[in-house]
Amino acid sequence: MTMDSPSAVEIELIRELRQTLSRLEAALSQISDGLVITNRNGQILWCNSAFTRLIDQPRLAILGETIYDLVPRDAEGCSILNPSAVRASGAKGGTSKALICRNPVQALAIEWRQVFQEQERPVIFCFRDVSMRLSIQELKLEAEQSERRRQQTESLNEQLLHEQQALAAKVVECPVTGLPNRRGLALRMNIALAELKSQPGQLTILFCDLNRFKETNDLHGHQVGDELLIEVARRLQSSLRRNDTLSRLGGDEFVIVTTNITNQSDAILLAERLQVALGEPWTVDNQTIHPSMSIGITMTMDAQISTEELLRRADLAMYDAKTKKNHHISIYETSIDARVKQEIFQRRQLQEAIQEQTMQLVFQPIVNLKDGSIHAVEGLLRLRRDDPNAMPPTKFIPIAEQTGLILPLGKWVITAAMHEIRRRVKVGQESIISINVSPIQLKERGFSQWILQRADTMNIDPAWLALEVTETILIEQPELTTGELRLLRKAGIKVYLDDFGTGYSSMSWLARLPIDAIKIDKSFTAGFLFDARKEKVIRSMISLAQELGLEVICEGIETEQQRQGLLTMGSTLGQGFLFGHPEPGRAP
Amino acid sequence: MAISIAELRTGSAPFILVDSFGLVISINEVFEQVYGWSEDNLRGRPLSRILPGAFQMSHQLGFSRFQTTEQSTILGHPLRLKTICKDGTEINSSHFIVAEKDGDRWIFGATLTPIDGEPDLTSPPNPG
Repeated sequence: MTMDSPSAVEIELIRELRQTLSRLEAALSQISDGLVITNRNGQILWCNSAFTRLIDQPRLAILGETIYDLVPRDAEGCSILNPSAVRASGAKGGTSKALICRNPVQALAIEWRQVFQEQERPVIFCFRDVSMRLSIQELKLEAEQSERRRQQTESLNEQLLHEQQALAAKVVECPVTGLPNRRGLALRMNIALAELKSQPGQLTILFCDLNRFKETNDLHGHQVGDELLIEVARRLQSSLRRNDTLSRLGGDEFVIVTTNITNQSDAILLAERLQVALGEPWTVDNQTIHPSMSIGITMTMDAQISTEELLRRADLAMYDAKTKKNHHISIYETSIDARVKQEIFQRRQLQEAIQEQTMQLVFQPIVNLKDGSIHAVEGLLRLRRDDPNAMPPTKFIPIAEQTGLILPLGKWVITAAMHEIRRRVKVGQESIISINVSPIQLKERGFSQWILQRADTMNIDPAWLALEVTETILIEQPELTTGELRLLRKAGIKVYLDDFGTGYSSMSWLARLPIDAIKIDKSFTAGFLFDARKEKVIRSMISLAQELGLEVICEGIETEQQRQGLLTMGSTLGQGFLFGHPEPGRAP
Repeated sequence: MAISIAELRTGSAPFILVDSFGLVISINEVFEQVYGWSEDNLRGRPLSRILPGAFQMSHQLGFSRFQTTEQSTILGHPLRLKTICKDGTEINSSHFIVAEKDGDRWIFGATLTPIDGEPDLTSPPNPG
């Protein structure tokens, strides 16, 4: 079948209609409201440019798609158009409002109307951006709804937390080792105390804490750490009697409850037996670990004592055992309470000083013994400015080293010394500033790099800085520490070997160490005038150092006779009260 | 250089020729074989006959716009659309449309090559 060609009139009419359509569509494309025509099922037949911008899709891609799937969701993730509501609204149409974004606020007013005059009942939708027109009332309402939803979530979370806690309260076993956990331990201790009431006896608690467990975790990972804990549990259990209780308190802490011991020496024997059992080498990742632990013991016949108090005492004793050099076992006694409290107080004082930056560097000159001219100054750390009662370095340095606070403290000292170097260079009073470096700092990875970067950032010449290290660390870990020091020396930083003569003082080592000078300990300076043997030792040290091309600085010079004597023996540099006390403020 | 209607017509793809009012002038044999329409079925009929309902409004508006402005963004590159077969089924096809002046009137030639699978409408050009 063919069709006749349109007549001239029809052609004219078609042209006019097409022009009209074209202009109308161009006009509809100009308006800012999104307009859409769909069929009765919501399939898109036409839309203007504002709508394609709203949904961020090209027109051709959405023709035939369902509008309900395309429109953005509201800020809660819910649909902003309900197909049933649109259908039910009939000829009069409907409106709705939706907040599609909270920040920045973006709100839409949506209108729709079915064209009932047409048999196919298309639907016309209009989307208007009313973000700027949201009334305070509406925003308030939205905020209230949000708050209500937040409260509901919070309440639900709280409920879940309670349920979780209730569930956890029922768990009395450590999931890693299968031993009783803190709760299981408390139950066992309560039973033991109740038994003491009915039948007098002795209850003994051994609080065991693995030494350097964190290192194992850090080096080998938590899985290996967990395996070690399981092995520890097995070894400890094998050394106990059937009715003793071994529990894991958490982390690397194990607690043993026993009623089989009647005196302190037996308790110590048990602790030693446990240490021996634990100390057997344990191999992981082709590396052998030698586990060890510190044990605090407390014993009681008092049935009224609380489990918390017993654990506290055992914990304090363990803390005391940790500070012991060899035999890491300690039995609780009241004096430990005071000692540990003092240590905790001191540790807090140190932490506060670091946090509040109340530390201060004081400076003592290192002089040329011939003419008294200043060769260098030693920067010495004081904890609190102008406070005579502040802890002395002999106290706080060991605490800082035990607690790891030496690292931030050490960095502060280095930075403060560099500030002083910069100040002195600025006023034309350049001199080397030496500072003490802890073995722990030297062992820290990237230590030398950190110093050099710091010097670079602060724009100071590293040659004005000297580090004082003790020989122990150089001899105990030569590869690590000498490597770091060589890097620093290469950059111009000087290295002084501090307290020379008090440690190993192996002469053969001296030639191999990357150092620039030795500092002869004040104990030699103090006695050499009256002690011929000391005089000989000091003379040999000076002579040897000079042969090796090292400078010699004698510490603790307090009298003119000492200065003269050392000068006669060939020493050229010295430090001590004769030339100046450590002075606060500017370097001398 | 732009492809001409003559080049499209002599190719092996289904081809359709439409006048400036959107009425079908002719189709080739391949078109008949692929879509099932005979030339008699379509000659003198609106092109919208072979387009799905959801595309018809846009098609009419596109034609109107072109008549008024002689500007279009759908010409000279493939468009992935659907084509209605004689039996009412829809086939995904690649439409390549070109327009040429025939005297003072425009004529439109298009190849409608069937595509396997669903149409990829994620980044088609805007028709208008």
